Amino acid sequence: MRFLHFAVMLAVPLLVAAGEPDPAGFRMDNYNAPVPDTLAGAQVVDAESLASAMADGAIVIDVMPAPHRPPALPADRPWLPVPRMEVPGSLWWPEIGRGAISPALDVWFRGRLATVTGGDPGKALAFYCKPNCWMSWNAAKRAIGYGYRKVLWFPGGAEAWAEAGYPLHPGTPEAPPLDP
Amino acid sequence: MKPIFCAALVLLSLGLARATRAGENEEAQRWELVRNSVYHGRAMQDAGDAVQVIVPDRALDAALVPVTVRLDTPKRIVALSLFVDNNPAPLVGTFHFGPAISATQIKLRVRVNAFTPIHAVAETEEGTLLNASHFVKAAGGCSAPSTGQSADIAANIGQMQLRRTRPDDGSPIPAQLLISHPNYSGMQTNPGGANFIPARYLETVSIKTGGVTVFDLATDISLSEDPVIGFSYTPAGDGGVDVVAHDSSGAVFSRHFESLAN
Amino acid sequence: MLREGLSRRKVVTLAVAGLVGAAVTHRKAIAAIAADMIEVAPGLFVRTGLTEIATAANRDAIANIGFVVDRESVAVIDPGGSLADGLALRSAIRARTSLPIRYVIVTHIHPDHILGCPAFAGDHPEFIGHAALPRSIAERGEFYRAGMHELLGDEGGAAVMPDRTIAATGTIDLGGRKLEIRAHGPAHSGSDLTVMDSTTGTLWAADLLFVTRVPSLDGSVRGWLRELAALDDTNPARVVPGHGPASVPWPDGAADVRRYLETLAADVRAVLKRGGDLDEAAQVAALSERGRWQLFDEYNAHNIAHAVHELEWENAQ
Repeated sequence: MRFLHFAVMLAVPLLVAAGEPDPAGFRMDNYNAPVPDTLAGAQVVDAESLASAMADGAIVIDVMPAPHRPPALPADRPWLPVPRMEVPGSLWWPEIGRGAISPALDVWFRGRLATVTGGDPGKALAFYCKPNCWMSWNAAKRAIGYGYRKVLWFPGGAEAWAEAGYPLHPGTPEAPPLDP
Repeated sequence: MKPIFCAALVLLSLGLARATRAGENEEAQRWELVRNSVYHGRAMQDAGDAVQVIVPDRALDAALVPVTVRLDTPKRIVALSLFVDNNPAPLVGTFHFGPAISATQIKLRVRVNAFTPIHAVAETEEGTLLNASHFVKAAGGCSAPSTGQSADIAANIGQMQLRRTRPDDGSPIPAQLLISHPNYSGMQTNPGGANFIPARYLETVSIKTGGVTVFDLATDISLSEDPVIGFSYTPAGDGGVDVVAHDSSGAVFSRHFESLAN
Repeated sequence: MLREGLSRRKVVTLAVAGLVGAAVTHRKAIAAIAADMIEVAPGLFVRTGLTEIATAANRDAIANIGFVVDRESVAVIDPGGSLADGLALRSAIRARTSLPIRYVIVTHIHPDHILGCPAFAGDHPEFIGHAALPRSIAERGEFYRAGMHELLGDEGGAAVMPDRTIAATGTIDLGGRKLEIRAHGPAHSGSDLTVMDSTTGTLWAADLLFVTRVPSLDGSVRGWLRELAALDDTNPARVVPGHGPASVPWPDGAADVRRYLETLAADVRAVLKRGGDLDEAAQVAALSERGRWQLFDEYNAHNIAHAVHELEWENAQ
């Protein structure tokens, strides 16, 4: 069963990229731009494949930036960002998709991954944000660099999930340490 | 000189322009959440004619939507709050009125995400809350262009103008206070960089005439860049006006305006 | 330049997919648009845009776009308002010449002039823009792309970062003629370029010049009037506006836009001087211009807001 799922994921048709390799390193800026078709070390998935992977226990991580409460905003002034609708069951870890992250954020990301995978580098992890955004590509690449062996990248994002007919649920972001 | 505040809001959401009005239920739920965050369940009445929220039909520019609140009631109004429901910081500001205010009309420019109710809540001296609203269609306005040059902003920050016309009959003086300030929300990414432009916004604006309070305004990031505040006041003492504004970086800007020449 | 190169590789992919997907259904439409090129001067071609707001039906083909061809190569001036629009322009170019498309000049940030960029990615041209264009793209590029995607899906297109930016002037050589590109201070937008073809005496003024369609103000009303005055020095035989007929005489062709901007500024100043504010200006400014422009009601109010914000600090004491 697992092998079939794996084969399905590999069989997802990819747009031909004329044999170009992925860019080296991370995408450092201008995140909202057309993304590559591949990520070395990751499997590119569409909504259906992601749903299958989730049924198999994959952990799904949303990396969309979240509005920051201005640090100086007094406690009595309301801060109520309109909810982001995401793939149900997602963990929401904003900021880890940036090209350069602070040491504190790096430590935080490694720690969260270790916790949610129970220390198992073979545990499936899926990363997404929205279409034409490099942040999920960066985050997935980072996880591969940490040694995770089963990293999925879902470039279609919450939009593609909804377009495929799956429901979205409002998410709550975690609060990683922000860049100074 | 318009920052990308609202463009950032659009990008940070699902990236789809909110080009339709949400259902009544959704709107009512959102308003309940917003008003409870400030009034904590206190009862509110429909203001009827006592409070009117007026916004131009054709949205000019969602980065500086002019909102007029008209107050027409024999009751004394002690405070007025303005809300843009769908903004992440939905409370634009709260005015606490002093003896020198003529609480007939307040004007503000606000930042608006596409399609949202705007609420004004006036508080009488007995503690009654009067609620009025207006729906704003600011279609596409959140793409407000950023033509600001940071050198200009730094040079001009905190400069003020007080525009007044003198009525003939000694009745209260209508005025507009203009403050040059970028009101950075802290959510705007530095183009080409990974960092955010640090938040820097006006927190309080206090106006006195002859030492008597006109109003104290507490505000934050939903107020437009380069705010313009319209109000009417009755001059006191020598008729001069003193404005003191604090921003979130700790900077204080103040200016004294002489009384109008006769 | 790895990043730009890879963006373009992805964009090639999109363009190829777009062609494959769209070829059959849109061949007729593309041919129809391609037939609209007008040769306003030898080797200089203009496709006039529709006087409409951007819709799915018009594919945001609402601006004047075109190209210049000479002995060795082709320069595109504004790649169009969507991928579909850009592909149609490219078709029109290829119907006339097989010379390489070496340059794509993007006259400014607005969607109707920039989103067609990906149509030309396969030609590996040098994308040229104002020094302020990269920042503008970083701030608004995604918003424009997403908006056009809602209208046109995969045919929407995207902005592409310029390979070369112009801070004052720059030149490109098509073999047989050179084009001089000029960067302007904030005027219509914050990233305006104009292109002078001295060989034919043609000034491509882009959106510094609006004819028939009401001007839209997204830079500086005072700056725009200043930049128009500066263009008088070029003494062109004809000018290509960003919106309007394919070519108009100079300076007469600019009389209307100058009058509109002067009226807007004067009316706003008058309101401010008598203590009025944005609300009042919104009701009266430039009203006298209403019958003289198309799409007046769609744009004038926004122009007023912009002008008020600019002018209310003009004489601060």
